[in-house]
Amino acid sequence: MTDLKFSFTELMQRKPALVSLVIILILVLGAVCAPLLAPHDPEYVELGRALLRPQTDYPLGTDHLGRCVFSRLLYGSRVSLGASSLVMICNISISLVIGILAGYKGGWIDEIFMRLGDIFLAFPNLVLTLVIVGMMGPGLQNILIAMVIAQWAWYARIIRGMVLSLRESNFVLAARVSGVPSFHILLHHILPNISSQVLILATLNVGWAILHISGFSFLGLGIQPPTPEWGVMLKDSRSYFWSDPLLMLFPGLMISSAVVSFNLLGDALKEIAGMKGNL
Amino acid sequence: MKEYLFQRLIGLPLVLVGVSFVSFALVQLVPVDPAEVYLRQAQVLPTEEAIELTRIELGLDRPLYQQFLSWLQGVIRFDFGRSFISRKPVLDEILYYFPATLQLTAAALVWILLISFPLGIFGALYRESLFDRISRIIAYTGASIPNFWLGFLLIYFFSYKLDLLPTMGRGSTAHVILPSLTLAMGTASVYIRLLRSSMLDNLEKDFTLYARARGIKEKWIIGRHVLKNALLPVITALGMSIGNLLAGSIIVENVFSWPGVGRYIVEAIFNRDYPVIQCYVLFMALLFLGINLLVDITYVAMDPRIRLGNKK
Repeated sequence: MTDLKFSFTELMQRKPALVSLVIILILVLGAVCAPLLAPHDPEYVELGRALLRPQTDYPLGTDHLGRCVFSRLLYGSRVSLGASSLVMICNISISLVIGILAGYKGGWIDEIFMRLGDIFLAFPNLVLTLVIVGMMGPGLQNILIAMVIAQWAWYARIIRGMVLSLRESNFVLAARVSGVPSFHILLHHILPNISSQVLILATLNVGWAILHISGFSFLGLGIQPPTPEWGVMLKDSRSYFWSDPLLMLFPGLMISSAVVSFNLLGDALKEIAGMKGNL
Repeated sequence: MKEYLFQRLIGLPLVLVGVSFVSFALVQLVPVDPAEVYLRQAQVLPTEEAIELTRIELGLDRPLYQQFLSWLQGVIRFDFGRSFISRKPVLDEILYYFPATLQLTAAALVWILLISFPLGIFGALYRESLFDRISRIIAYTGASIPNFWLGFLLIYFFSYKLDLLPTMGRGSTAHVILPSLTLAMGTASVYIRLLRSSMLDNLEKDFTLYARARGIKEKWIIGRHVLKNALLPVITALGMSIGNLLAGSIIVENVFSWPGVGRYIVEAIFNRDYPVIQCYVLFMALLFLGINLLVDITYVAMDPRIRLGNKK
């Protein structure tokens, strides 16, 4: 794990990475402290105060149901960031297990998972996710399942490739020859050596997940109103686009800044790790 | 690469069967009985007796593998069943909406070339210049802006503020501009970066250095050697993006009320029109597979290093 520590100091020297890290930190802080920071209940409807312009009481105005936009954005970051982190964790851990198993064990296990992967990779990603959600019905849990089904093959394949190249390296061979059990080799030799690459994958995956989850909510297939979520807020404000374009501005800015930050951070990590091309 | 292509072709039948099975099996994910949905769509009261009869009519009473085989038999004859809603053959419906999506995708490809080529190439040639910085900012924001939001931003500025372009629907050429630009932006940003790094790679290659040492004009070096080599990976990747663009049109079509397959499929999802969804998935997967295979073949055919590599 020493290379991670090392890269952290290097990371701090890069301006874009630093800025994106700060933005992510602010967003996470906002999400965690939402109950303290939000001036209003994000789901409290007050039709008499609908579509107000930004003012001292309502820093970013109110939506069509008189709900405070600022409070909704804050609570929305809980849902958006929380859900995408959850997607990322499920995605990466499942792919990690499959990728390591297939890459290290090889043989028929590898063959089965990779042929299965071929089948899932044959579908355009968005199409598979959309259709699975469509079949199972909207909701966070279903999105989570759909995104993992649609994505595992891709990540498992990348991780398998990393493991495969390590398997033949001298230190792993030496450990195997000296009779170190497989589990120990995986845990102490393989995993630490792919950790920084997996971290990069994970960072980029969060950005991807934020985009997709909000996209599904926007289509009405994701998180359902009245739950405050950035995609839901965009969908809600769609009908008021002509009269109150500001309503669409804020959630969009939140999504974009979150995704930009995760992408910039992922790329900076990639650069530090000295990787080229598309991971 | 040739071996890879050969392996791909050998694996293809298995993938095809697998892809068909996944498309078929999706209905198993449905939390309710499709027969009941079918009856409700037909506005028939779903009594137990009626549901039982419908299950037999739709073949849902048979074991799964039998259902799959009979579905597959239909698929081979291009018979995907009928839509629960319109009662028309599903494939006809999808093919009816497909040209609009294809038009959108083709226009998006044009945008991608228009945006990524100049920005990527000149960004690499004038590295760290103001132009390069701006093009990199465009690349980053383009990849991170949700396209449903970008769509509304474009409508706001070009249709509402400037009153230049229509907001939605399909018709004249002007209608295509905004939706296709929205669709293109994400992919274009990827290519700006891909092209830039591919150019930079080739600018540092030995053959470039050698050409410079021989005193060949810089323009000639860039045009004949660097650009030619830099474009190869980009063009093949571009082919693969077509499938993703076709899929990405789902959201864009919904923003701009573009009457394509993407909008149709979201409607079908809300209507629980299962045969349509099954057919759409398989259709997209086959299209995606076909395009990717074609790209691989072109890649082998275009690059002499690969084409002739195995003839030793």
